[in-house]
Amino acid sequence: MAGADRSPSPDERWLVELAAACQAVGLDAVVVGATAAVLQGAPLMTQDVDLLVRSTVRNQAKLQALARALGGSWMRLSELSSVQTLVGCPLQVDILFDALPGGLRFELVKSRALRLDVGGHPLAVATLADVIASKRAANRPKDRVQLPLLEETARIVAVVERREG
Amino acid sequence: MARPPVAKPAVPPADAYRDRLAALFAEVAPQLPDIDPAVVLQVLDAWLRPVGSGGGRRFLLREGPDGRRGP
Repeated sequence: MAGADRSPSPDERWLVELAAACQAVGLDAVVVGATAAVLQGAPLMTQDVDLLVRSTVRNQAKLQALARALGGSWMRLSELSSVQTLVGCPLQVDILFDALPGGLRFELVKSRALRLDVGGHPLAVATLADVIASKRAANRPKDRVQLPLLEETARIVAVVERREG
Repeated sequence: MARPPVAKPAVPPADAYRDRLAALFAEVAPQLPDIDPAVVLQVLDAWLRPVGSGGGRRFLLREGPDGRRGP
């Protein structure tokens, strides 16, 4: 199909590189936020890729290995937040630990996540329902802007999925 | 002299993709009359060629030299 025969965009290549690196270091992560929605058809643009992981000593070691694999390093943007940001790479990756806004814990988000193939690498991706719930709970200005489009995307995808059976 | 038969042009793959997208759109859009058809089309297009499948989609904003963000 022609639509699938184009050259991958730089964004796709970056996502494939990230998925490959997560697989290589064995990081158990779920893509959340706007990128998760984009992977399910939402016509959005975003500034970064958000990953949800468990806060464990082993995962900290894997995150260091991930940074080395991608040629970046981690920094915390605020003492008030545990979010770690990968800098020095072509694009930004944020790591969220243990739960999303709205009390959506890692185990729950992962149990419902889609398993997508991204350039031959498995990637767990939060459902649209969980992305919407977390953005509704976070309630930042950018979340409020994205919510109507995310809700419409969820309705459209639901119709397509019913059709596909 | 008889003219050689004119070869029937092969249907370009792009048309096959457009036809599949159009058929899906024609089925789904009427079920969601309150949603902008342009949004329905964008989501269906993304459904048929998702990010990661080599469909060529861009979704990440980058900061340009002027500080503005764009694809």
